[in-house]
Amino acid sequence: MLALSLLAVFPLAALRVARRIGEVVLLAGEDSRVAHARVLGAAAADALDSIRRTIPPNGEFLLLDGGAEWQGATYWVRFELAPRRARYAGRLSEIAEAGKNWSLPAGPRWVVIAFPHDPTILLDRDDFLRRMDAKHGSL
Amino acid sequence: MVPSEALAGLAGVALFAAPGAGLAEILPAVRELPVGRRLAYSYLLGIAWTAGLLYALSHWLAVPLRSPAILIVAAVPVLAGMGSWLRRRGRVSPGSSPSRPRRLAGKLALAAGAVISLALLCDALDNPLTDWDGRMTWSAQARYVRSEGTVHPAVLAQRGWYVAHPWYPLLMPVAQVAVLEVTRADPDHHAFRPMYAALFPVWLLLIYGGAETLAGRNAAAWTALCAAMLSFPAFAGAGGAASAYSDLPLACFFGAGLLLLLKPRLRLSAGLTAGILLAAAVLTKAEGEILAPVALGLAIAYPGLPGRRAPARWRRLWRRRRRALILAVLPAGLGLILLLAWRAGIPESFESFEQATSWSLLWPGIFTRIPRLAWDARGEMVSFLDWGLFWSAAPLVLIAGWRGLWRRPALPLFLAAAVPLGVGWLYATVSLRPDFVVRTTWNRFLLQASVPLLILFALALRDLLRRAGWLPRAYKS
Repeated sequence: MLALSLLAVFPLAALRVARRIGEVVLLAGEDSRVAHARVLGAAAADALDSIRRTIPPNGEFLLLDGGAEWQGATYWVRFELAPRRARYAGRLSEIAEAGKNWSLPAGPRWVVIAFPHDPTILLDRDDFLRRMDAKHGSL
Repeated sequence: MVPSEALAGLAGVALFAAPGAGLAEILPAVRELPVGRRLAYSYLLGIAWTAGLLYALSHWLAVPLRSPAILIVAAVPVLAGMGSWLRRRGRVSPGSSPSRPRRLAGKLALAAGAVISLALLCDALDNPLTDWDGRMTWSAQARYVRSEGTVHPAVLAQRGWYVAHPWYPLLMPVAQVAVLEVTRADPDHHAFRPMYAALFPVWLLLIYGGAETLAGRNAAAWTALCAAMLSFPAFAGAGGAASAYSDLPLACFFGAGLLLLLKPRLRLSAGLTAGILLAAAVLTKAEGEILAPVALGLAIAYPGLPGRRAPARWRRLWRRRRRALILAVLPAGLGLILLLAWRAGIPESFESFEQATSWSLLWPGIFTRIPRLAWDARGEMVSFLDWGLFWSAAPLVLIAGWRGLWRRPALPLFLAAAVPLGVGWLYATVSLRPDFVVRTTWNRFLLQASVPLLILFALALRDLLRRAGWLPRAYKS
């Protein structure tokens, strides 16, 4: 039984090992910035770089979840933008539902909207409120 | 990968291996271990010392977590170790035992462990962090800590910031900061990942070493081979060495400390080493606050556990162990004090945990939820992609080799394995979404329990190998 269990996992382990060791050749010469763009996608990495240039490392921002359901997008954006401090402002879809009863929390000038599958958006607080008002709770 | 970045990643491993080697030289109980085990203990001691002391210096003395402080902290044991080695060199002849020829299982375990560790290192050097908890909690915290150079960054020290698990201890994030600062890594660079990847061979060596002491070389080698082939501890993005989760470091610190303490003749340096490792367990993950006292409690109770020893003899044994146990309790207690003192400055606590659980579910849930939780846990354990067929075969080995478990160390090992699993079970019992909790945490609790569990497996396997008359002698003992 033990020998069988070892034999059974061998192909899977071999595949995983081969893929990782093979990557050394395939990804030779790629620096961490390029690797970052490869993993996130070029558009997403560019969007995050642009936000990093706008908000200083010791700055802060309001973070909104642009996804229809919870998929962790705000976690990834918070990590990518750290050490910039985030205040969570809720889910974009909740704003549309709340209508006039919703107000943006006080504080940071910048609003960052994280999407599960699309690049992150950065808006100025006033710009964000204008857009939400004009389009009745959506961007 | 480019060579300069690869070197930065490897320098991160050396940042802990070097002070660990110095400490291993000073502590006779580690110095006299066989080379593989000595390397494993050195690496863990290096992380415990460097990140633990930086954590304490930052909290109590507001020492900035920058290169000068990090290098001084790392250099102290290196210099002390060199001094000790120079002093000993003239007096002591090399004490290494003659190496014995490795048998088939040993060769296979060594090859599998080496190749999989190499693959993990390649992955860590090539790819940025992509796992869930690593980005949600551990590495995000590391970025805040690095930016402000303190274990009290504003996101933790002030209310209202969006931060996951602010009360989670920061040993591994501080270790990440140490690597990134010393190598002057770009904020996007994943130079800390090899530090986690190196924990996989450390974990294997701990299992092999513990199993070899108690069950002999062949059983230890087969067990290490089985462990090396498990996908979850190596490649899982949700807790393996390929991630930045704190479960594998916790498993290593807890397992290593426990194994040192379960020796009948506990030396002073073994007690101190175990205490340092258990302090690191406390500072690595919230569960460490439970696991470290459990390991110490088992060590205290060890001479009195059921066995063939006469009461007068275990009293003598207890008296001999007393001073070493005090040396173990002191650093572990200091680690706990540091954690509690640090938390006193963090206003938000385990709020996410409190929102996801309700203690009113404990009764009668502790009984009524058993079938559901057992089914869900079984589902995780039979996942071929994570564990292969191991958890289908292991219970059969444990049952068939039960005679091998009829030994003094088996009971404390069993209890040490049961505690993390019990914590996981309790968490799922009081959870509002038990299926989600089992799906996301059970494998990690298994990993935390893995060192004692796999040594129990080795004990049972030893019995089976001995009784298998059809096996050639070379495979048995």
